[in-house]
Amino acid sequence: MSTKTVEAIQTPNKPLFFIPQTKIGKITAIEIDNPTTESVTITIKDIFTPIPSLENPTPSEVIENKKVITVQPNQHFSETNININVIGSLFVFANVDNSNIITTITYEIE
Amino acid sequence: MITFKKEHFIDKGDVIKFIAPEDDELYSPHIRNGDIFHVEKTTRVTYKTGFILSPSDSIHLDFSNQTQLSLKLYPTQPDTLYQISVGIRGGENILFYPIIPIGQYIYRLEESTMYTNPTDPNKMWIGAFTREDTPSKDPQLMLYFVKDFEPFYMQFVNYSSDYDKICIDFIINKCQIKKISNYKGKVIEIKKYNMID
Repeated sequence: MSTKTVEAIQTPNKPLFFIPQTKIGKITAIEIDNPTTESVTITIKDIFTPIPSLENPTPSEVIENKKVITVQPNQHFSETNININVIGSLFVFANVDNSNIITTITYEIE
Repeated sequence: MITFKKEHFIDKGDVIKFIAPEDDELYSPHIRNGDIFHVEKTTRVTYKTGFILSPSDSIHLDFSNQTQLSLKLYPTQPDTLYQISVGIRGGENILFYPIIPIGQYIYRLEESTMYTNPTDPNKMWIGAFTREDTPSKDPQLMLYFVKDFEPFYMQFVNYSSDYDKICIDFIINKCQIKKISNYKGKVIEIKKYNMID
């Protein structure tokens, strides 16, 4: 079990974590702390490229929204015992840049 | 050369016999039907691979050494046998089908309309296997390859509307083998693909 945190940022330039080719990932808990006076929307995205196939010999990168959460001002969001599969690189996007808004993701890799 | 039941790894000192159908002189280009070998030495090598399959998409994985894209899990020496355990992780929505020779699904039924067709929702389950059939923690699928054996394929099909990732864990038991003659004792039989029980 691992935990990573990130501040709210609109254009993250690196993943929060990535799943190696020979592993499967799973998000087990999400917490978002919003102590500010504005609401924030956090979008968790899984970004990966499928293997080439006969039907699709040059596949494009895929961006999948895994979870979208809006947290009201001065609120704390928490969800545990969840099971969200992650197969590529996990990015956390926010609709605002604010270093006081913290997202914490707990995940497993097998 | 393929079994779907729990089997022990071949060990030093074991004796193996390659068996092909009666009308087949050869098991492989370098091994005759009925040839018996003593296992001189074994070494285990692990290897993992994984890939993401698009919804309703499929690929053929070639286990031989024939192309740059092949998995290259065949020996290059005539006195080597690879016994390969295959375990699966992930791939909740992925079926896989053993194929040899190319275009021929190994596990099929006799009635003419009961043939494997991964694109047909009624026939995709004929001869199909899932991760539950050979989980990584308790693999049931065992493959046997020798030099220049006919290429073996595994077709992976994602039958769902979601992207899915499958991981394959191999344990390759490299066996150095030496041909012997006039042996009457107990042997481990390795049958050619067209003799599947």
